[in-house]
Amino acid sequence: MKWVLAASALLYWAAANAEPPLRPKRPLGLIEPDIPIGRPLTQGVVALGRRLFFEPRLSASGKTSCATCHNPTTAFADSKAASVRDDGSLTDRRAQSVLNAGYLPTTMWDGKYRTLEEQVFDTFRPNGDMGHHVDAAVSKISSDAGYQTAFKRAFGFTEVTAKGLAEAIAQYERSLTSGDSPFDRYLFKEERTALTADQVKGLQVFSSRGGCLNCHDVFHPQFNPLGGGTALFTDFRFHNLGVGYKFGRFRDVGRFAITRDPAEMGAFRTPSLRNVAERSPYMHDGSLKTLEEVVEFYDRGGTPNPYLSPSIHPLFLSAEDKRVLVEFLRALSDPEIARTVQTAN
Amino acid sequence: MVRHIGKVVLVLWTACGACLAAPQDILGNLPKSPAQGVDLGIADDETFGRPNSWGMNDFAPETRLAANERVLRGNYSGPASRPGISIAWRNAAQVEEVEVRVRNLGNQPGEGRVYVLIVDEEGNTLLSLQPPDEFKTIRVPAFADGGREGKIIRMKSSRELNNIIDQFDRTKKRYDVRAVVETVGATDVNPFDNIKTKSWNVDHRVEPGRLVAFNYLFRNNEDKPVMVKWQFERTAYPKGWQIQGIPAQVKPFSVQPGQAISGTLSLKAPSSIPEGAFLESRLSLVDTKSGTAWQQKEWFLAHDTIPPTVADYRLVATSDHRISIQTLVADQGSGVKEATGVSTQYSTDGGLTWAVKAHNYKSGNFVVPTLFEVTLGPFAPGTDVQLRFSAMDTVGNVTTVIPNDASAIRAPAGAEKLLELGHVFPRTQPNAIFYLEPGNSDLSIVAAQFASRMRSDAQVEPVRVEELEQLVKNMRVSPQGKALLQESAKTMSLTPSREVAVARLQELLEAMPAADIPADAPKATPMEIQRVVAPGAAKLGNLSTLQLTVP
Repeated sequence: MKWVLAASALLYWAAANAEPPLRPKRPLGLIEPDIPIGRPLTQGVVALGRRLFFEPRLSASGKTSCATCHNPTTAFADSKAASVRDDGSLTDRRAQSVLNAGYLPTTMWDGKYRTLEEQVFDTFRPNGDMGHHVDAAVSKISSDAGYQTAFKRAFGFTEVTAKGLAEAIAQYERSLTSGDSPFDRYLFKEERTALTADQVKGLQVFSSRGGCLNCHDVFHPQFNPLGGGTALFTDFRFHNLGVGYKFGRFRDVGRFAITRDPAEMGAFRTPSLRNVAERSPYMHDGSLKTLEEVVEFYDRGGTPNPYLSPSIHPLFLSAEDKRVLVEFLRALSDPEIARTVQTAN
Repeated sequence: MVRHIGKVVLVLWTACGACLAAPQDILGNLPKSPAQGVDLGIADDETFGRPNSWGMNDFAPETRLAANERVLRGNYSGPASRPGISIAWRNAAQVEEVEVRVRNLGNQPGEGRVYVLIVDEEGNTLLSLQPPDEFKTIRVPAFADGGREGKIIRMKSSRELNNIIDQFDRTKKRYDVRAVVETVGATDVNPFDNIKTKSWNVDHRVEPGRLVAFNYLFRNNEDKPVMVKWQFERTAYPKGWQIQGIPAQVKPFSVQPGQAISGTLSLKAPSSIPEGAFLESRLSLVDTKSGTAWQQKEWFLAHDTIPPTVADYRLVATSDHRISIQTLVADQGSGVKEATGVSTQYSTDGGLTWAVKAHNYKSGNFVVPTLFEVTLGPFAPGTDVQLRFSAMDTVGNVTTVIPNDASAIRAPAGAEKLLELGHVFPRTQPNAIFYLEPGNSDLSIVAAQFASRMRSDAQVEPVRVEELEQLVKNMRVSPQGKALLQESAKTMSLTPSREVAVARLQELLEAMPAADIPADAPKATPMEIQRVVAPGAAKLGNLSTLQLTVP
């Protein structure tokens, strides 16, 4: 079986113009993302994916690209409370950052898709984000000699295909890793001066009475009996915080729409907190504009509703606790991402 | 005596002959290169990385290893430790969960399926735990790309696991937690470590000059024979330690269906042992066909005479006649015993008989101060309750002393809602009730939050409104709290089926005065707890007994 896999990987590389695998950047605080076995990243695939990611011609109007909502200047997330489709209509949710998307076992706020490739296809529907079917998108760039060359380099053939398009964008997204924050230097490199005194206090609130560590996981001997050496700040689970619950109903039923499990009514996937300070607003509906509002929201125990997660309840944090907690959240930014955001804004 | 592990030079003898080994061979420095291919396995925990650092102990020069004996060298990051399986904590619904750390020591990424079995002493599977669908198959990077750090996979269980663990611990019945990672899509270059077992309720304690024994039983509960061979693994022996009774048979043999193989491992400890000396050992029957551990028993041994330390003992009596206790327990030696190691005993007959309730693990790593909580009762008002506390470490040292600075408060009426509203004891979060300090009075906000919760509760019944009425009768309601209640009524009125409840709530609100919380409002007040000197307490390590009358 090992030989079969090795052979298939070899064929893949051969098809990809014999390009050697591209090792994605492995930042401090993270391990390698989940790159499909037998389909390693290559320079050609990632370069193609990047080009497609920023390509507005893929949309029906010719104005919307993936980067419209996953904007690098806002840490590859949407700065709007609700993302806007190509036809100008509002979606129900704010597009999440695709930084570190390669680590996710499911994608979207509700875990609808198991792979990034599936998610890419989902955006290409007549009523979808890009406004038309993927075949229509492909036809808009298929005669572009530049794309033909890029497809040739990536996959070994010049034909622009929907499958290749989805795969290239997904592989590009997998290459978008982001760590190296002051927190990472503090915890994983033991640089005790990497965090300010307030941020250290904030970490204590985060990991104790704030209860944030409940869902925003950090695997390290300091926080977990089994140790580990990675911090994604998510448990990949779905929780109901009561966001969007009003007048006895949910505006968006979240995970329930996928599983039909009443226990998951109004539940959404725990987002990573990496670069959280660079990508407001917050929550799936962008209803909270600042980190201070987010902390206040948790402190009052979310929005009561019949399906509220058992781990959400009033925290009774002091004003000082809240202040240092926000300071700590600011220490989760990748300096490179933060610079990009600051420069653009 | 050499104190620093990095300076220890050990002489290794192998079955094929003697050879000198550099210290890192035993102590687990990085290998020259990872295994070629995919090498998934269950990691060891990182006990060595904790403050007590097992590696500070003296190791003995190695003697000749048996042909089926192997020294655990720590998987590249330090001395080996117990398997990376944790069954310690309960989630927000108070159901036990299991965590398993999977790593990859190969130079290629790999995929695997992870699951956990709870197995009784005779090898019968009592429970099988599976990860959620999206984690049914996980990818673990190559060693250098994060395979060393690996991934931690969580498996939710059911109340079944709670019952098994609680009951088995109570009756001291042995059980094994067996974690399995099945490599898929590739041949694992070392399938042996794809299965690891952590054995509980065995004798972990080593005392100078004493004999300690471990009885093992391997039974073939399958319907066909299996060809196996013995494999004994252990960490480096502390000076003067040697396990006896390791099965000598080298050749593979067949175990027939229903056949049981039993025996005893033992250790005669030397007369002097440094504190913290430990040994992790695993006896396995290896399936000769697959190379995996067909069955495995784990025997962890430690010389640890220092009982856990207890700090920040806080007791809160609520007006619904319950008693909640929170405390920090630390153990720098063998670690606090997982799952049920911290408990409170209580007596309502003056100390003649005692009941036991395990504290829930909240946060910490069982070595550094780790938070545990429990709620007892309700008891009939006026009941004299005696309380004892017990914190046990893995080898069985027990602290029964409740610190002198233990504090107790009587919470103001309504504070018990903090227990209910918070769905008591979500993981890692201390319950809000323990933040009450004497003098903390404004609980109307608690009532308001309770009401907010009720208004969105599909099951709101008039009786719940009655509960609310009872609640607010016991406390002044601030204008802010009343506003929230009015909002609740308004929201509830939108649902026709709640007509009765809404009408009742509106009545309640009309009659409800709202005022700023006066200075003389009910407050959390210090509560006197009497210390009782129980007969024989001095002979029991100054066993502490508290007595209080339930308000």
